[in-house]
Amino acid sequence: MSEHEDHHDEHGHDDHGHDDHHGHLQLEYEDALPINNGKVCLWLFLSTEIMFFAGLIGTYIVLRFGSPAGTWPSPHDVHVDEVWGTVNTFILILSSFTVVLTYEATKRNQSSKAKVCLAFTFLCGCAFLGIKMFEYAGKFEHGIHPNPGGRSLLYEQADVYYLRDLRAAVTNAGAIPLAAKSDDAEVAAAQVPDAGDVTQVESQAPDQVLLEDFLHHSVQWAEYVVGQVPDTQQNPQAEGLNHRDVLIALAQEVYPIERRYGKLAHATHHAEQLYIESRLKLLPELTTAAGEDNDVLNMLAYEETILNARLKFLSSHSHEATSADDAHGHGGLNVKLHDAKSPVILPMHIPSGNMFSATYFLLTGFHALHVIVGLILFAFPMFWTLEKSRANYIENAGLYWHFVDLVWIFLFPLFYLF
Amino acid sequence: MSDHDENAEHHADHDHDHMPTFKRVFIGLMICTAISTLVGWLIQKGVFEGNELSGWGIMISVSCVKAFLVITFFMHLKWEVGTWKWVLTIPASIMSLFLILMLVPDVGLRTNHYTDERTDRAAYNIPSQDASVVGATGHVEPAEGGDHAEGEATH
Repeated sequence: MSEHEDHHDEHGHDDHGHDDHHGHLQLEYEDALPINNGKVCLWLFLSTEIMFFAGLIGTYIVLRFGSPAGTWPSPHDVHVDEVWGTVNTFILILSSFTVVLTYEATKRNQSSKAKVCLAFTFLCGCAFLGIKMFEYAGKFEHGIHPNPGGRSLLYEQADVYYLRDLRAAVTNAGAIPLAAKSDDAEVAAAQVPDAGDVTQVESQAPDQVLLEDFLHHSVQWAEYVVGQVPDTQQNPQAEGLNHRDVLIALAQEVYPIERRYGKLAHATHHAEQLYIESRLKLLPELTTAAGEDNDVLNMLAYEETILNARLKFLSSHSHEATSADDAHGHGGLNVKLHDAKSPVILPMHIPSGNMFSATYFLLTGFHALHVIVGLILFAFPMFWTLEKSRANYIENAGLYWHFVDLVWIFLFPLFYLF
Repeated sequence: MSDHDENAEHHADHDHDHMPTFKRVFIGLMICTAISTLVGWLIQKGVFEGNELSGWGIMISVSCVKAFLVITFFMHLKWEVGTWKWVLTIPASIMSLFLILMLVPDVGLRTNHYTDERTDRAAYNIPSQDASVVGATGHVEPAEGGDHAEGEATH
């Protein structure tokens, strides 16, 4: 009303027009809602936020549970640690509670109490972000991030790119420190005589040399098959090999499936045994096909030696191959690059890894962004006297913060516990 | 103006009664988090072996309970007067549900049916949709030269 009277004074000379206007004042607007405008706007914003995050979380759920069984990485596969997730959940819930306390104190003009609670909330938000940062750093360190050059099982095809990438990885792996693996070293050392005629310098680190040679050789062999031998999958009548099986066998050498799916360990050993046996059966044919190509002949001879060594190991250990055994070591030549201290990042390393990392970083990233915005909202009132007139601001900032907490309530089990 | 102040005062007094409620809600949220974490831990220990879905169901239900607690009490929707709270929350929630459902046919069910080519080229053994061939566990058995592709992967 007072505002209108000011208006009237300024434009008093325009009597006639103004009187007409004045008549309409009977239609004075009342508050449509029993809450202040700021809160209406905030709630409108939150309802769009509900859809925003529901879309993102829903996409994750649909991708996650639509993937074939066993092909989505478990939290530990991708270094998601539920301890930090739980800590962050507690931190956020605590901060939500202290926001409630802040609001209650502000409403009662208890400025200093409100400020203490607000500062605590702010610190909680910072702690949350700090842990998040620590987690992100760990992910990046392990190469877990959306990787346009990488390949996941979704796009798996028996083609040469896998071999190219694997070759690069094997080459880059360089010296692999395997000294700590005493079990593996013993078994490998026992097998050195088998391959002694081919490898020359195994005296200083036999298992390492053997491993590198074996991997190099496996890659060579697979490249040869994919490049030169007809694919029986494309052309069942052809004399050749199934390229897909060759590549899977190679992947199995580099990153054995039993590491991911413990209960399959025994069956996998059996499968590998069958695989090696049939590969050995095929070697004479390949030797004939190679003709006078000495490189290929040497390769095949070495292949045979290695395969025999591996087969011998598998048959002697077939009864002990339990998941417990595989958790710590797998003897013989089956010392995988994956166990080396320096992480070797391979394609096919984590099934659906790209999709996991894309959804993980999108969702937690947007959430972290909201946390940052919340912290900014809480930074201003720290310099105010938190009296009743400020209660609306605190309430709205609090509503926003509770929503951020709400989103995390769903993100926590989905990413850390499922 | 004074009338408005009185209202606000009354409002504040009214809210004052809720402090014990807030504390209970806070403790409830903590307990819910502990339950979720416990179930997650049990799943890892293999207690829900072959029955992960029920474990996930528990965790999501617990999350829904937590969400309900936060919205109802911390965001004090329980004490808000008027229909606006339903107008702003319910359509958005329904919309978000449909956003998810829209994705199910093409994205969620994308691997339920395999084309022959996809089956041939998959990096893992796909349990055959043909009931007569029981899918093994993801092993590889190489093709003997001349064998036809189908069925040889699952042995």
